[in-house]
Amino acid sequence: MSEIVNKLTNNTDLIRLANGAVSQLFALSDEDLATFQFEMIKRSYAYHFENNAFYRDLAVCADLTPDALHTEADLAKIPLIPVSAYKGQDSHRLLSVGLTEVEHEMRSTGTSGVPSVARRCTTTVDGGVQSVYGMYREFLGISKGAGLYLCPSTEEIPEMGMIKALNMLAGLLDTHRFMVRNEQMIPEDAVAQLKEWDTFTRHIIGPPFLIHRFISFLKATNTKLKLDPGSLIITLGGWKRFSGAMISRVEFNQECEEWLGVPTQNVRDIYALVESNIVAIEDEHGVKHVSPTARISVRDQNDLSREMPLGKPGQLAIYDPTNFTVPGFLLTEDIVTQEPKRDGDTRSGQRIKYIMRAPVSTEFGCCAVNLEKKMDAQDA
Amino acid sequence: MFSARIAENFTSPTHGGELADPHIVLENKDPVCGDQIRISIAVDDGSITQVRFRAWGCATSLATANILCVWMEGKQLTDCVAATPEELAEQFGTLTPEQRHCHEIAVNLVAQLQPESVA
Repeated sequence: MSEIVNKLTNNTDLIRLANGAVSQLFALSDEDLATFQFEMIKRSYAYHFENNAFYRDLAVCADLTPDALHTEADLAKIPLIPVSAYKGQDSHRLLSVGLTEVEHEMRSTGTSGVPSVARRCTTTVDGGVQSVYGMYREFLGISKGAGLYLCPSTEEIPEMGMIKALNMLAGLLDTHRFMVRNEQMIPEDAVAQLKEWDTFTRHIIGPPFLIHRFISFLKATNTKLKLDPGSLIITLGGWKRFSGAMISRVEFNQECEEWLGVPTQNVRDIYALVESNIVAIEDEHGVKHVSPTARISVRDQNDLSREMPLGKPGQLAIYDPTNFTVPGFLLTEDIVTQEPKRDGDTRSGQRIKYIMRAPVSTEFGCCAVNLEKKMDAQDA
Repeated sequence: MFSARIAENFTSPTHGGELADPHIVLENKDPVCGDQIRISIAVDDGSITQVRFRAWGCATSLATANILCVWMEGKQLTDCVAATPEELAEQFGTLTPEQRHCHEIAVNLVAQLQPESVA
């Protein structure tokens, strides 16, 4: 038996196994999880060092060969790939596998109009699917019901990361419907659909601005809905509107309660990044937990080699060892804080709070912002 | 998903870049996915002497741009103008349904060429 276990854990299988064990990883002590994550990241670093000439050059420049990774503190020395590199004409350099091994390309258009394209080989897709579903089960607990998707379908926007991630949830539901078609949403149809689903627990899923827009319609028509016990409002995408105005999270939660009959603890926001397999999903207290298969690090914007202490804002760096296609060591353009563990929280791992896009970023939002801009132009 | 031809042109592009003083610039963007190709062309006496591309998007788009440059370079401008979508499709080989938008971008680019493009 131990021989079989050793076979499974002596190579990249350790990482593959971890993807399917989200709940078990959250149940480890913080120290054990950190040790486990360090081991996965170390193996991932060695894998990309071996298979990626471009990344190996970066590593050599940083004077960090895989055998020099001894402790968790060494992780901060790992060369990071800025997400802007995914937009470049030379993004082929990022690949640690041949293009013919790439199974899927996922993209985010962003507000600059230049698509960021993340490529995944079969092993990376396997891992992403497992860990994302694991996170959905851990924090949303959905296995039935109806999903009102206030966003376009994957048929209309194939390969779009945000929609793809939300669409994965549909497989856990009994029924669902996408309410945005040809960049238009008819809120009356959405209300009618919710009323028709009277034998299902109803969930509303989409980017914040579209749910906000739907609630504005309910307010304007004085239509108060009462969804079901267990109904969730699930959001993914930016909270900044194309106009630059922020949607207040506190007000949004209050409006979900008042106009949809969904209590604050059932409003769950998801942070995700097309370039990474990790997601961060809110628990019932509104705290975002990072996938336990990866680690994050919050960096000082003025000195990216320096890590910020808990609660202090900085630029988000991700060490995602589940990526076998490109090195999953990313420097994002997002400003976040790493949050402390709340008393009574039984999960181990890291928690983040998203604050904003970095001021230096050419993007100020995601593809949802582009969609909102087009929809507003049509309404005008 | 990716043919050897697409893989080769994506990972080892020979015509990436931009000409400093092009005679013709072609540009097209897919409104759905956001893929974009810009091609700059130098012409001498009706013959295309140099072609370079800038592209943003999926691997097939980037490969398409390189394939298109290779195909154009050395040809008479009039021959490129006369090319049919089918002739262009042959250059790319078999594309999956998800990759066919790249052929459309290429067709749209070539359609911008006119015999009188260069005075």
